[in-house]
Amino acid sequence: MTHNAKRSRLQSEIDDNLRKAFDEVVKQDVPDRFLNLLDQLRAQETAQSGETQTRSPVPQPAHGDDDHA
Amino acid sequence: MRDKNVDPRDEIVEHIGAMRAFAMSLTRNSALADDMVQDALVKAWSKIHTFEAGTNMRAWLFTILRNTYYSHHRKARREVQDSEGELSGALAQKPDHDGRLQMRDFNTAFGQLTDEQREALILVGASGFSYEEAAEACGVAVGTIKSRVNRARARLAQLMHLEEDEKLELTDVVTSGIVSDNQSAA
Repeated sequence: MTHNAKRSRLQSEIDDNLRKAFDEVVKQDVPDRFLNLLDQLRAQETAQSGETQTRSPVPQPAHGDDDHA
Repeated sequence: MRDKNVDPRDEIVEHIGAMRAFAMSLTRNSALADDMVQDALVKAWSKIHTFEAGTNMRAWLFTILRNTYYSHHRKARREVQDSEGELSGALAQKPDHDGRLQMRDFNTAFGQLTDEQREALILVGASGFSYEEAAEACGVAVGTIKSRVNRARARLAQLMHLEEDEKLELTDVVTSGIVSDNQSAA
């Protein structure tokens, strides 16, 4: 096998393994937290369009907001 | 059959799996990845008017996701990574299959790529984006994406001390570790 052929085989093996790992996550069921989030966003919007809004428009993420530090 | 009443936001849910996979390959931590997906979903929802109907929604979502990563989560990832040494030690106990590549090697090597290399390799090599789509999602030139992908592959091979005639053979358990190697460390 030539040097280039070996190299391209190696590269496609790297890609195959990454793709397999990637697809494994893609195929997982969508966690409820995201389905609930989308429902919540839609519900908030419906509420906002109907009445005066008093709540914060978007839910804050769960992790610490430390990027201004 | 699209009409004006179709809300593109209804499509977002179909891309959550891919968003999680992309986020995990960037953060390499499932808890952090899901926080990042959450932030990106909230953003995508509020700026849906910037999405052009008929264009690639996945690419649009990935752009938001990576912006979230670079502006908020990259720092957190570095903090989490402090536990990596410990984890690598545990993984090193895995049996060797005939001197073939071990999980630890690929995993560790993948984690050592730069964020930009990892992202380019995942977009083009794993998620099936064209070079053009990846370039657009990352906001760089096509040539830049190509060279990042090439450098990422070369660096992986180098880090793993992989001989070119050596077979890259990983088990399923092994591959699942590639995108998220430290779930328990979160």
